[in-house]
Amino acid sequence: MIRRLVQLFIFVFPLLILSAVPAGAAAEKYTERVFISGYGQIIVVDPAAPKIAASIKVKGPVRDMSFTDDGKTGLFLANDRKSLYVVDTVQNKIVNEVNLEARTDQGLLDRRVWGSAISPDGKKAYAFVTQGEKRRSSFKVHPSKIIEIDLKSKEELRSVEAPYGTHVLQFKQNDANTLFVWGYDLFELDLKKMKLTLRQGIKHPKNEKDGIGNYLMLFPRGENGMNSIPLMKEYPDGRVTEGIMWMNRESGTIKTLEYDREPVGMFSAVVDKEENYAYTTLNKWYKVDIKSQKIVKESVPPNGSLYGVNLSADEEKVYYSGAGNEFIIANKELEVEKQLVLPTDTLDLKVVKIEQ
Amino acid sequence: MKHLKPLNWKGKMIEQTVNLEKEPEVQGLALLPMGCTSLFDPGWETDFSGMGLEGVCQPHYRDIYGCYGDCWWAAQVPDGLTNYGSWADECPVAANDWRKLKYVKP
Repeated sequence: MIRRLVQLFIFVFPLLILSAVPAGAAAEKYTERVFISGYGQIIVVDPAAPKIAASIKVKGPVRDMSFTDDGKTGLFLANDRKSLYVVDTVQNKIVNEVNLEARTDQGLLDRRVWGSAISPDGKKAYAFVTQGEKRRSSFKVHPSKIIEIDLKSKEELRSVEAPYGTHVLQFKQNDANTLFVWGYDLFELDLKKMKLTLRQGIKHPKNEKDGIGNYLMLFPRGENGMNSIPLMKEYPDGRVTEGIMWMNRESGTIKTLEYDREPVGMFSAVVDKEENYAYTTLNKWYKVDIKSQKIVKESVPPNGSLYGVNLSADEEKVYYSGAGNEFIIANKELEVEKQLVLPTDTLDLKVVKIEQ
Repeated sequence: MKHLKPLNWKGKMIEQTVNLEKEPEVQGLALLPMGCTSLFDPGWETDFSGMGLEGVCQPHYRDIYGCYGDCWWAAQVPDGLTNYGSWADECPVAANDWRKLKYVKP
């Protein structure tokens, strides 16, 4: 009898343990890191401590930051928007650098990147470039375009002309063949055909009665599947409203809300995965109830303006950085819990789940 | 250009050379070098709704590199994209190290 009980224990006990672990937990095994765009360096923060996990030296101010699906590789724009750095986010070291300036038959091709993204598998990079050729006694303007770069060979594979004002490239979730292109309006780039089409007019809406949208797409979000940004709208009767625009990166659906306050020019916003609350920042912090479109909590950043707000990987905390040299962890009632001093002033922050 | 009239021979020569009927080809972004002509988003921080300076970053030094790096305020801070890329190299935190900022002579 005892032997049978022992056998039963040996077989059943592990099954009981396994069944007690949520199915998604194994797939969700990750290390959370916050990547902050500094000046002359990418600052990597371990938010659990919080402490600086690494400082990765680059040239000049860091701008765009994008990551592969597994979070193990990041693409960072720096060097006065001329160089893309590929970073191994596990070892926190630069593994590749692509400089987009080039010699031509007659001079130098000066290219600056305004929006870049690494492909989900980390093999290619996409960059929107403005470009012109500096010749000995003249300057030839070339059209702005999105270029596809093979990261191994650093060669430009394909390109397509793209409109002025483009500022963010972002992959559609679970679709490596579609790139959302955010400029004054939202475009979609079909990477199979390398064809760019207008998806939704924002500055140029179909019907101006819906309001002309203006937004500062310097702080794209999307790590939780929602790209979100503060939105100003101007109506034909002269009304100006402030609110939030967000897009589900999987479906591509855009939603907006306008809260009942005078516009103050918020810089960035983050919407939670369940689309219950949004958080915005600049000179004030707002917590916005999405259903009622009301600001339900308001606070003031402790040290002055902050450009960037984001959510922790588990969406239990609100992170702030950008502008000054600090990283702030607050609770969802906008109360500061921890502050970490950083080595440089900053621009933005990205929360990355690095698969283990 | 339609309201301008050439007064000297050089001006008249330009008028003969340039086809004034033709739509201009140059757009704002196309005016390179890339630096400070590449951004044109006026009005975000500058009180389009009549609220004074509420929308401007506070204190001002927290915004100085955001403005400098991408030439948002090209008249007020050096052009970080083309001519003064190393202006702030010795001053990573504007609030602490501002004495190390270099002077520029445009």
